[in-house]
Amino acid sequence: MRILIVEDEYTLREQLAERLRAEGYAVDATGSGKEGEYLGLEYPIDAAIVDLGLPDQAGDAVIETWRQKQRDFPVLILTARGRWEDKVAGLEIGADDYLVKPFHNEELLARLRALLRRASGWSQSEIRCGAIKMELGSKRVLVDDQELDLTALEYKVLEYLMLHADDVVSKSELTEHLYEDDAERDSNVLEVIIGRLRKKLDPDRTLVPIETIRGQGYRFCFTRDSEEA
Amino acid sequence: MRSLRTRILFSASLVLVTFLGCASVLLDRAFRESALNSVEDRLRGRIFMLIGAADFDAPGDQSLIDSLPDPSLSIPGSGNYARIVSRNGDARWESRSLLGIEPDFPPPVETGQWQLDHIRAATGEKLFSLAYSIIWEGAGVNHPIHFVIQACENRRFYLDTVGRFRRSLWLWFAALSVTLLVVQALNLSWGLRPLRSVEDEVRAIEQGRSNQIVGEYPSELTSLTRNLNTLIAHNRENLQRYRNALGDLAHSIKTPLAILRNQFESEEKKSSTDTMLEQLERLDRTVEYQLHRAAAAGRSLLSPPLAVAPVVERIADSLRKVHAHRELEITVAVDPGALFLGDEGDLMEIIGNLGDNSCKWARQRVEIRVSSLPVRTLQIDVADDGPGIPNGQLDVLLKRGAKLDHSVEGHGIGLAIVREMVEDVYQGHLGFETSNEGTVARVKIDFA
Repeated sequence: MRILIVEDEYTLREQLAERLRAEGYAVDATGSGKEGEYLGLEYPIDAAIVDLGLPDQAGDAVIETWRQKQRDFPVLILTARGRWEDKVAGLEIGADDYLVKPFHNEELLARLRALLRRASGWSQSEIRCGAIKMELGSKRVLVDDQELDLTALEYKVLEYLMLHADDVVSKSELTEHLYEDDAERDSNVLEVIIGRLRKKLDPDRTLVPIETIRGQGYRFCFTRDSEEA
Repeated sequence: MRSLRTRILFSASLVLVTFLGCASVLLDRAFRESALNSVEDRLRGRIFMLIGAADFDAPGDQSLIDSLPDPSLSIPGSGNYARIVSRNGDARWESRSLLGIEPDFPPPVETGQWQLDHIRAATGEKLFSLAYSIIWEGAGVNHPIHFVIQACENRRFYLDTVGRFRRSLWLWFAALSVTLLVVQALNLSWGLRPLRSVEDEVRAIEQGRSNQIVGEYPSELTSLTRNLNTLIAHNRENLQRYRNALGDLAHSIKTPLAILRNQFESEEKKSSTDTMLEQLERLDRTVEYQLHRAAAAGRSLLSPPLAVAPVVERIADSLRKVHAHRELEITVAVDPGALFLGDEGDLMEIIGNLGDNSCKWARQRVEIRVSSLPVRTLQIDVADDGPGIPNGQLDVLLKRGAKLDHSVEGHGIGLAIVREMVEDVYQGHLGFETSNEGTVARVKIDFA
């Protein structure tokens, strides 16, 4: 999952980026509204965190531009202005949620997870495909109620695939959303990870959850279960 | 005397009455003088007539006048009298009208002199009397003879004339006064009409039916109305500028707060970091609360009326978006004519915070109802089907910055802000009805 942070205060930006990376997100961070606008338009962003009070270009103008150009990834507004007048204005220009500074990191993460989930059409914090259940908050994966032991990278790949269950996800799409820099990208690593995931999810080769579509990419092929309350 | 109209009407009427009063007194006096002159002229004419008719050469035992050209002198008690006396006072001739009247004639006058007197007759009649004396040097007489010719007229004629004049004078003046006063009043209401319409427009602004003065006014008023419009606009701009300044202040305080909190949260748990986090929390709530308080615009006489329905719709849309993951059913029922006589930001703050609070607690449903009650009272109900507020917690909830349940996200000062806004800024009332079926937050604001 690739997150864009547009926040002009250097320290806060770095804290946020560090925390999000620690949570396994790929992070693009900038202090400039113009650069943020460009990144949002040109990069495969999954969600953006935007501070409204930017020095060169107002945050709301950035969001408006994204929306006008059909970039519909979820946007979380970060601002010091806590009046409802400001909140409503921010949500009306196309933001999806709103957080008033100062905030708890945990709250920010919870909101971000909820936004990502909603953007992929899931509305609960647990997503379930057949026997495989993923708890997004605690980052646990269970198969037939048995918890799997996954590395961070394995979890990230599986999370992306499950959130986009039934869609074909290309290798380049996966790497773009998982890594910040091109240098890290290596399709062999991805193949190894997919192979390991297949073993861990399906040791007996009865479920076959991850399909390889030749020349196109991978597909998590369990249809979404109706969500539990 | 508080009204300009009464003042002008009063002073104009005073001037009018004084003027007409003085004029009538002066006219009356002038007329009496001229009436008196005409009495004198009439009597003088009668004397000349008698001199012409008299035969002064007639012997002492014969009548001086044989035939009278004026018949009124021949009718007894007619009011017109005359006589001719010799120097020593012997009557040489008396008009027949004098019969039984016996006026108290004044003593004879010097030769060639005219003398007007007010005399009284034995009958009580008041008379004007004019006397003239002549010296006659007749043909057959060798020494000149003095005659005094006296003519009288009843004062009644004079008084009648004066009375008639006065009656007509007063009648006309009264009619004139009434006409002038009516014209004056019409004039005033025409002249002051622009003032009255300014008054109406200002009242419309006060009652929130309008937000600026739009009419065309005479040059004396345009600077006033222009200034008033500027003042209203300035007021609004000021509020906006003030809020922007508060927003900037919030930004510059809260960003460092956010950094500090993130720093402490990421550090290893120590009791000192806990204390610092606690203090940061306090600082944050205080800043948040005070900034909200400061940004409240309140009820202004000059603020335009605000239709409540669109504001509620916008808030509901925002709530649906922010609480999308809860899959709540957020419904809105607003009286179409409901008006809020205050600031839009304040109304959003009230409904937004109550709605947000309900959304956090609701199980499935939140309803925002707004109704206009009689005598300009606005009632806002925000209902949820949550677990209700435990007994005794309501007070804590409403206290400044208190937070009932830390597990529910948010700053926890929303309700305190609403209470401050409703009760202190708009002098309204905030109440809660709660059971384990749900909670209704009810705001009542009286705009009368």
